[in-house]
Amino acid sequence: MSEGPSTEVEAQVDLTVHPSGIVPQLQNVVATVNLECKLDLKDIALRARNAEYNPKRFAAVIMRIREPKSTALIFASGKMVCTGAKSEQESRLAARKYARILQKLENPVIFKEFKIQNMVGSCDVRFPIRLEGLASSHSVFCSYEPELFPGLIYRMVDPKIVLLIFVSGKVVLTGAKRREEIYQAFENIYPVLKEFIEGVSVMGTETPQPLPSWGGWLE
Amino acid sequence: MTDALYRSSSIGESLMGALKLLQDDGKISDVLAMRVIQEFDAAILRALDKRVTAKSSFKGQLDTYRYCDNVWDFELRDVILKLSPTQGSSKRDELELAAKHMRLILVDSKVVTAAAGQHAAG
Repeated sequence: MSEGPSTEVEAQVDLTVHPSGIVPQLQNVVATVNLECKLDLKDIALRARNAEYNPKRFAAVIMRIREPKSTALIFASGKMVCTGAKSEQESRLAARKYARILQKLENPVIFKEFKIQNMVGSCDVRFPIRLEGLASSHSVFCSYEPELFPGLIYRMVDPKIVLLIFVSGKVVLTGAKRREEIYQAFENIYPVLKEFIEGVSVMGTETPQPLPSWGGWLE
Repeated sequence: MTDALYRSSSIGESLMGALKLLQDDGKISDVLAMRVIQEFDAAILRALDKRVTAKSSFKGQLDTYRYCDNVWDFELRDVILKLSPTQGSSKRDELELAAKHMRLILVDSKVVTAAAGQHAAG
């Protein structure tokens, strides 16, 4: 994993933006664009490469490109959804490439209303988390049903981001329109997670376990 | 038309060639030639389904794919084809073939049998 506070990464982190020293990595960006022209999906499916079209199952052509690695859903109305890109720029570039492919197939497309609809980020705090404790003290925001899903679902209000928090210390953040929302949500939750490090007691009711130093204790 | 797929295989092309010759010589009628071709279409599907025991596997880099009208179309690069001997074959060793490019066209068997059924009925 390239993420997490490895020493080399840490050196470059801007601590004014990321006081935790951890920068969530973007994993997926979903964007929409309006190509403002009716499309003949069957013609596209037959002539474009890496296209799938099964109108019985789904009313869009599914097209993929390798660079930036992404998938597009292309609808007959000319609306397109581009998913799978790892950054805003990549998403925009990918959407442009799909538009270009459609243009080469003699469709009078234009590139309008490009909008990022969702961003997903993830990171690793590198300590185990007591999800039950977190769920009971932040119960308004949390949904934790280990029999249904092993992660705790934390619905943050500001920024409006949903976080999936796992015992392992891995965190997934979703629902963002801008990457700053993901960063802010993580900085908000990080001090909370530190309160619920597994093995550390609440309010000193148990003998506190001495915390190992950050470097070696997971190795 | 999917059941006519194997007319363009080597065996199919040979048959078509032979029929063409016979037709050109006036030895068989066009109707009979067509009837033979239709019988071939049905026979090859039956044979591939029931008689062929040979197995092969292959591995390659997928260049492009397409799916439309229940047909998958794959273009592969640097393909290694492994052919296992048929049951009762005298050959013992697995045969390996390499191909720079390979194009795979896969037709939904339901579509083929449906078309063949229509043919038989009609």
